[in-house]
Amino acid sequence: MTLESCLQRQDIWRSRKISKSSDAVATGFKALDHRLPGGGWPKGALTEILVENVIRSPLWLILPMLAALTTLRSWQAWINPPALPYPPGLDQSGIDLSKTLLIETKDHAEILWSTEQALRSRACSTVICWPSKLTQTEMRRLQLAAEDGDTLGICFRNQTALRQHSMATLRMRCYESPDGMEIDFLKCRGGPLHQNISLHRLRGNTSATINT
Amino acid sequence: MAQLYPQKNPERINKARRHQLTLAKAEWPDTPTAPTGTQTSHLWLALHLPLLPLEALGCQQKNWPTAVYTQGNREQQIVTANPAAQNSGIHTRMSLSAARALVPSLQTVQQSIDLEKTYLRQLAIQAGHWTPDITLLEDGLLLNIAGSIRLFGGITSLVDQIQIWIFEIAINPCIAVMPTAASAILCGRSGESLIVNSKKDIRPAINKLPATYLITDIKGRRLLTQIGARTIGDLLRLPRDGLARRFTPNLITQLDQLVGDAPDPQIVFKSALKFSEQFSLDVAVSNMALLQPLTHQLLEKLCDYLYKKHAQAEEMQWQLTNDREEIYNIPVLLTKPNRELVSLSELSRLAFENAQVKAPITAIMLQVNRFSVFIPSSKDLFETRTENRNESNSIVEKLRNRLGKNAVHGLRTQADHRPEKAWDRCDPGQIGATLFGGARPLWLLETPKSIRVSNGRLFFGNQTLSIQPSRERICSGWWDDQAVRRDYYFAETASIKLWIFRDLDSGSWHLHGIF
Repeated sequence: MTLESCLQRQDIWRSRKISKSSDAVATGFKALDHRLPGGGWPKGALTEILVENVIRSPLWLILPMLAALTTLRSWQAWINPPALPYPPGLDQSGIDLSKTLLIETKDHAEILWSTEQALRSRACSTVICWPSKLTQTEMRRLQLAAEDGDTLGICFRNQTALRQHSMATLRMRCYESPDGMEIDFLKCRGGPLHQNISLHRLRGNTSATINT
Repeated sequence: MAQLYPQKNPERINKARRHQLTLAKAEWPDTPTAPTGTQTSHLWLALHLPLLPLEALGCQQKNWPTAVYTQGNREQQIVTANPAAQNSGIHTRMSLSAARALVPSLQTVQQSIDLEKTYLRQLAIQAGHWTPDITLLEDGLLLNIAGSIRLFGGITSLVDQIQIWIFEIAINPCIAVMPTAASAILCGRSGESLIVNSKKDIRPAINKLPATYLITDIKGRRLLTQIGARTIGDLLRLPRDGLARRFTPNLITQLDQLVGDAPDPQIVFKSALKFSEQFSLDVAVSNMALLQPLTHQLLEKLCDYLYKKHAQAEEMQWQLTNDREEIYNIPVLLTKPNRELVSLSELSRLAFENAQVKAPITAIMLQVNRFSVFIPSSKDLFETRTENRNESNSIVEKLRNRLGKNAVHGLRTQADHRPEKAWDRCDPGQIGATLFGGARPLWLLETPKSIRVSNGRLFFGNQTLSIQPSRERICSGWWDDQAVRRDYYFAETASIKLWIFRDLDSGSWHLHGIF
């Protein structure tokens, strides 16, 4: 094993050096892209987003990524959303609705099972899920499934899960702010943990300013 | 092969067949690698079952003289007699009383046309292994084998395979392969086992056959003896206009069809596709996992059936019965027609996991309710898309079978002004209407939540809402009793942006969406 091959690896933490080689999808927000290793949402991995209230999960945060990945594979799976992701609204944001797969399950076991199947299937470009609770083992299972299927997994959870250890590649906490959102990185494989990144959402187009 | 011909004069037939086989080798390449143009042409294989009435009734014993009779106009007549009875002097059209007087130990059964038809249909389904193009005759089957020759390794190999199959189940069957349907049927009925494959060889093969095969009425037969025409060759030699005048114009068409000068369309046998197989378990099974080998066996039968019928399953279901006679239907949901054992087995397993069944199980049944035609797709060497398509279908199937059909949907837009009706759950992959209009939220509350109004201000929780002045009026739906008359506004709290409306009838405010 050479040094070069060691440096290629994603799972070696290299202090402040952000590895650029990782496979990532641009978030559409400059402030976020700058700080994420690879320059965007990590592909083939699970991203955990902790929000104040799951019913107000910030879909606008992931919309540019969803729109960019829409042609990649057959489906984009939404598993147990807390309310209805409104088709006309998604349509206006550039999402191909014919690739949307809405999965509404009855219980926790089914959420986990379908999320894992969707992540592993290689038929979904993105899997977005809203599990009510998630143990460490279950989280790890999902993370491995995402790696196995090379699928981008997003998992929205309440901030009550803050104290729990996470197996996700990227974990962030969001606060709603008057003109957008404040983000703290809680875990970021291959990069430093930035705090107080503020994202602005504007009508029509989205932009971000840096406020560190 | 000689023992397969327990007929009156096997040498003659074998000789004829060998003679024709040399012809066959010349024109129909026996090796599957040789190029052939068989797709468009016809080659008919007639399968004549001389003892069909006996076989249909299940009278298979050879040593005991047995005969089938039918109720004629005046008396009961013998229709078919087995070889043992024939050796004792029983022949067809003999009256039943005469036959009984001749052989007192004769076993007799009344003919059943219905059973014969059912029996032939069963045979036709089995023969579907070789070709889909099968016609039911009164006394046998007619198979168009032109398209199957290369697949089964040449004409002799194909005929041999069919022979092995039919000799196992029938007594003294006769196989004749001819380029025209009529001549194949004729040769089959005459007991000529032969293979002829070019049109110019039809005449030599049928010339010697008696003309009475074509002309069955008494008046016509008398006329035949009067003009001295005994064989079909004689009829073919006679002037056509005279024949048509003396007999019927129909006879000319029949002769033309024999030699292939007139079209002779055949009705292709299409059995009503139906699959239903059941296993009764001797010992009740309480562990569902133990059913796995049985389900596999049933699915294997199904796939075999589908292969023979050139069909795919579109809708299938399992039926389990428990010891209290309760019946559980477990449908297997298929997004597209399927006939692959592996995927059907996997989907069945998921459907079983989802099912809530009170064990122990005493019987298991597999039914297919809907079929579709199997259209083989040609595969592109460099194409990867079809594979992706399969994967994408299989994940939907998997999810649906485990979670139930109503748990997995696609989303689409619908052309309606009312926000709650401007969308729809649909089958995954469907495309909706194109919508125009103002900005729409990303989340919609399926039932709008009322907003507290106090001192002329709107409150969302504890936060005050500030409303943007622009509004969108939506008045629609008077035709289906779900009329809405609303003014929609964009509203903001300190942190989030909402979509709210004021009901114009009641004046109350409601939250409907979140951006």
